[in-house]
Amino acid sequence: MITWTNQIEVHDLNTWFGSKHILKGISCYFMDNAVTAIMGPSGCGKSTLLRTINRLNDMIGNFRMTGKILFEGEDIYSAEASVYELRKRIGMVFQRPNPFPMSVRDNIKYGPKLHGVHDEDQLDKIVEHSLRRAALWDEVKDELDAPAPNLSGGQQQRLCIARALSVDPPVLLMDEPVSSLDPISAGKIEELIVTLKEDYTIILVTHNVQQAFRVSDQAAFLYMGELVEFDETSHIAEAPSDPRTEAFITGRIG
Amino acid sequence: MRVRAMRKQAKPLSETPETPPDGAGRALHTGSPSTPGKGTVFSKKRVRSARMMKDSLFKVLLAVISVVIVLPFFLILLQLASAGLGEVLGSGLGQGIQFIDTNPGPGLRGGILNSIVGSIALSALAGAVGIPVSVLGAVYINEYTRPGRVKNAIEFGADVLAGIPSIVFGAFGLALLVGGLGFGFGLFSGGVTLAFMMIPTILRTTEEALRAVPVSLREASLALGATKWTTTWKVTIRAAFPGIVTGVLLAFGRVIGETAPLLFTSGNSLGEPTSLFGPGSWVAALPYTIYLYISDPRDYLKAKAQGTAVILLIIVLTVDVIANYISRKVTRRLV
Repeated sequence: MITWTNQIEVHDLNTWFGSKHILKGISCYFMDNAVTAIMGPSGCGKSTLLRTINRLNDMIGNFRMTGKILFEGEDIYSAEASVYELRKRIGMVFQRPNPFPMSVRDNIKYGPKLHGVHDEDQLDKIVEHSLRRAALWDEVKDELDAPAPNLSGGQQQRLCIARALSVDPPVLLMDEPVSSLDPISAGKIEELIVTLKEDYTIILVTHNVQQAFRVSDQAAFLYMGELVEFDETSHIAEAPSDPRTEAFITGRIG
Repeated sequence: MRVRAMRKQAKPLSETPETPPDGAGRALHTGSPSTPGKGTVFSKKRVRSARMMKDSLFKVLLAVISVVIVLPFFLILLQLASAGLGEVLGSGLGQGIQFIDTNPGPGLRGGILNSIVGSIALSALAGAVGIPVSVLGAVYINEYTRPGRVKNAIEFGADVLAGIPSIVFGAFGLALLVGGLGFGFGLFSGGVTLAFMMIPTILRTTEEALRAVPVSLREASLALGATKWTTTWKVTIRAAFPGIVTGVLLAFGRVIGETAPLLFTSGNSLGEPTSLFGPGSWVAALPYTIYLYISDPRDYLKAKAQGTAVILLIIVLTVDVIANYISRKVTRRLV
């Protein structure tokens, strides 16, 4: 019997969309204040795994799952669990920047307001704090009321990170957050991920092996829905234990 | 058999020099028996000029078609200006500013204020009833139903509704509202009949606008812990808002010019309506007034009809320009 001390644990997770078996018997855990990279070729189920953690797959009609996901020791799919509370505590950043069609300021205020913060002073503090955390404050502090879609792609993505941070979640899910950005913007966000892990548990989905090696502390390699390898990133980089992992990180598959 | 015959026919065709560069080139190199010697004589220059001919011919054809398309619009403008501007700009009784700020006097001399006010009141009521119903309907279809029978049924219904001739709406309004439910002629029956006509347009454009909102925008809101309703209300509808407004304005532009639905529902009046139901609610409308004045034997009323048409056109154009402006702004602001 292993005693889990980590914030998120996945126990024997199987998921289906209709009759399609996506994830097959996944068990892993995500360490506090560390970056865990989930890598694998397209269609291997990495996004599905991520979206099962904040129950975003619930929205899809034919989604089914077995197994357990524990967050702070509690089963997030149990009948008593509140999906809204869960999503407040597990933030998410998406593949493409998706700021709301409102001002920069309102984008950040959206989350806290949902959860009952209505005091303007406090909201302003949250706006500044979140934008600073996302390394965007200096660039937008003079145009907080400009429409967010006018920002550049990289700025939009950092705004989305700031928006996710606005409700102060201990966990941050990132679904290929830089894959639609230019290399310079991508670099900035990678740096940001490394600094954010001091305060957050970050789960990063990526198909970019080099990026996974650069930013992550531990890594999971998914292939065809199976968890092929789950270890510290340095171990995987130096000596992958499974030939499929080696094939993937040397670029022969995926 | 037939296929082979066709192929036989097609083959020599494809290798005759008439087929521009490819056929000619191949004929040059292979010297195939079907084109004895001719391929070599056929100069590149002639090929090119023939193609240029075709090209410019097509250009001229397209230009002519475009002119034919826009011509009616300018003819209408011209005709209206010559026949109607006299009323709008003139200085006689019920002309000029009096044309739009007085009610018809004795012998229907005087202005058309009653119709302007009536048309605006009718479309406002139509909007008040039609907009919420169709927008919420579209939200329900697009956000809350999965693709399937219900969705198809509602969409099919809306499409059928869009294709129904307006006079049928008039007859329906008469049977249901005026007679059946006993609301009688007037503002309410007319406005609600127009609302029925607005529904398909607004429903479909709203649906389109909602569908254009990226899924990831909804997910971003849900991932922050928002409920589905909050997400729909604060993010999805907001993102789709300009598209919705465009649809609403288009629907306004449509119903404000309708005569037939009002023939048997709105009644008519020489003054402004004073109530929503009952005899005081009988109301005039611009298109209806045009219809009545044109069918009248008195010549000065025919002129007034043209003037009324100018006013109606100005209102419709204004609404269209606003709709256009908003929809252009959207495409710039979103994504």
